[in-house]
Amino acid sequence: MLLHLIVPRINDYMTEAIVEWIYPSQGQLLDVGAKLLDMTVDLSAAAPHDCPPISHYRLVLREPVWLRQLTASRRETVACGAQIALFTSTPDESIEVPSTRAVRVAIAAIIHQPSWDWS
Amino acid sequence: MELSLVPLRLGPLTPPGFAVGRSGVRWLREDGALCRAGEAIAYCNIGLIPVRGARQLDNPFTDEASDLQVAFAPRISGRLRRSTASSRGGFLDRLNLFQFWEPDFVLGQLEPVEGSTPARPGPEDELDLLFMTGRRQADVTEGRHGLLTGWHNRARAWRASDDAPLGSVLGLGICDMSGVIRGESNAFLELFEAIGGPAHAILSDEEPMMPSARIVIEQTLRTKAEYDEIAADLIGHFASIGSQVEPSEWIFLASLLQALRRAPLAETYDILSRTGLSHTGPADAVVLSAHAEAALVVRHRRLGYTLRVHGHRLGQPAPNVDPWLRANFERVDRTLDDVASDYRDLVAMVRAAPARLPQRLLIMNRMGTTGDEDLQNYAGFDLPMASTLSSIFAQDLNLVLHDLAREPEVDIVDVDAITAEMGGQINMPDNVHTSGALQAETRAEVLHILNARGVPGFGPAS
Repeated sequence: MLLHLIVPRINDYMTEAIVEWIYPSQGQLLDVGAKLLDMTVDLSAAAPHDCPPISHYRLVLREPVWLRQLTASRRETVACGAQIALFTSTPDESIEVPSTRAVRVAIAAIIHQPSWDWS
Repeated sequence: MELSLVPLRLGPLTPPGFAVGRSGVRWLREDGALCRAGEAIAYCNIGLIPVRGARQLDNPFTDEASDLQVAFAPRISGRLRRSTASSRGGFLDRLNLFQFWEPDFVLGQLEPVEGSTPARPGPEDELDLLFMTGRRQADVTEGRHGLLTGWHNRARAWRASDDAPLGSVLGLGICDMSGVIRGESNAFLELFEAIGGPAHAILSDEEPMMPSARIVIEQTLRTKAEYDEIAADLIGHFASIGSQVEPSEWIFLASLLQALRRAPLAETYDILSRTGLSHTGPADAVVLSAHAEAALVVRHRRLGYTLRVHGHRLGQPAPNVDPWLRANFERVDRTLDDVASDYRDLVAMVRAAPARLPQRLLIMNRMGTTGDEDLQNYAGFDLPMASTLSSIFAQDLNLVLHDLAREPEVDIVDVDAITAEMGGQINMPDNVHTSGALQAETRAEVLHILNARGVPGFGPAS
C-alpha cells in the first residue's frame, strides 16, 4: 500500500514550513514513533508583523512503514500541502501507483534543537 | 432630582523651584460619555521650568523630561461635558511649554448620574492625576502622537501622594508581560484604575535582548569597565567594516549596547507629586516572565557575556550582524537545571542587596500545553523529553518555579492555570501572545500578589 506525506497545516496562518532536520534515510523501515522530520513555522512568512511566533514541530510516525522516496531536503522551504515523502507497507512494492492515503503521523511542538544551526 | 455639574479642575501642581508648563488637553473620552471614577478621560504633556527658589531635585527627569505626561481622572463617576477651552489642537496639544499649569483651570464638567461608581478620595472637583513618562531609546525616537507613545526603553506611571509610601513594581518585558503591566491603553491606565495607590509601575524593555534570569544577573553585576570592553569590541568590529554596515544593523547594535549597559533592577526614579519632587527606588517588586528562559543562548567566546535575543530579530536580513554573531559567540545549550540555578542566583543576588535591588520576585509561568500537537504516545521521544518537547519543557519549567517559590521572596503568577481556565486556544493561540482578557486576569493576579505581600498602594481601588 502506497502512502504519502504532505506538509500539514498546523496553524491557520501557516503557509509554509522550513525543513530543519530529516531523520530517516530512503529505503529504511520505520517503526511506530520513528522521528521523520523537524520543521520550523515562522508566521512572519505569512504576514509581516512584529514578534512573529516562530514555532518548531516534529512529525513522528504512528504506523510502521518503509520510507521509499523523500523529496524535501534540509533547510528547504516547503509549502503547506506539498507532498514530501512516499511510504509503502512492504519494502519493494511499486511507488508508481496512486497513493492510497496519507501516512499517519503525530505532530509534536518541540523546542529549538541543538543539532540545528543556532540562528 | 436635579443634579449639579461638578467642575473638573486641574488642582495644584507646585514642585518647589519649578513652574509647570503644559500642552493643551487631548481627550480620551468623547463629550457626553459616561465616565467611571478613576477612569482616565484626558491627558496633556507637561514640562518643568526652573524658577528661583530651593529645589528638592536639581535636574529631575534627566532622560525622561521630553515625554513627561499627566492623565486626568475624575474622582466621581458621571457624564462628561468637555470645555471648549481645553484643547487648541495640533502642536499646541503636544508641546508642553505654551501655557502654564493653572490650578483653577477647568477641563470640563461632570454631570453626576444615579448608580455611579464609588468616588475616589479627595475633592470631587479636583482631578486625580496619573503621571507618566518614558525614557527614549535615543532622542530621535520621539513620538508625541499619543499617550506614552514613542520608542522607550523604560516607561512608567505613578499616582503619588505626599503623605503615603509609594509602592512600586517593575516589569521586565517581553510580549507576554507588556499587556499585563501597560494594559490595552499601553499607558498603565487599567492597572491604576484597579488599585488605590499611591503606587508606581514601570515596564523596562530590553530589546533586542530577552530578560532571562541570567541576562538580568549579568546586567546587574556588569561593571563599567566590563561594559566598556564589550562596547569597544563591538564598535571596533563594525567600524572596521565601515559603510557596508546597514543603518538598520547600527540600530540593532545600538539597542543591544543600551541593553548591555543598563541594570534595570537597580534603577531609581524621579517622582513628581502635586507638591513636590522626590527620588525613589529601586522597585519593591519585579515581575519576570518564564518565557524569557530558553534551552539555547549564545555566549561571547572571549568576553563571556550572554546574549538572549528574540529569534525573529536574528531572522531579519543582517549581512554583517549574522557573521559577527556566528564568529564571536558560541552556542550554549541550557538544561532546566541551568535555568533553576540562574533563578537561585537571582534570588541570592537580590537577597544580598536589600537596599539596592527589588526584594520581591514575581515570575509569570508558562502555559504547559499546546493546541498545535496531537501526540498520543511519547515512546518516540528520547529522555529527557524536556529537551525536545516544548510542552514538557514548559511543564518542567513550571515545576522549577514551584521549587523556587519556596524561597520567601518568590511568587508564581500562575498564567498556566489562568489560561487553562479561560481557554488557551482562544486566549493564547501561539503559546506566547495573549488576549486582552487574559492580560487583564493576569494583571489582577499580579496585583493580588503585590497586595497580599504588602507592597504599598496595590490594594483595590475601593
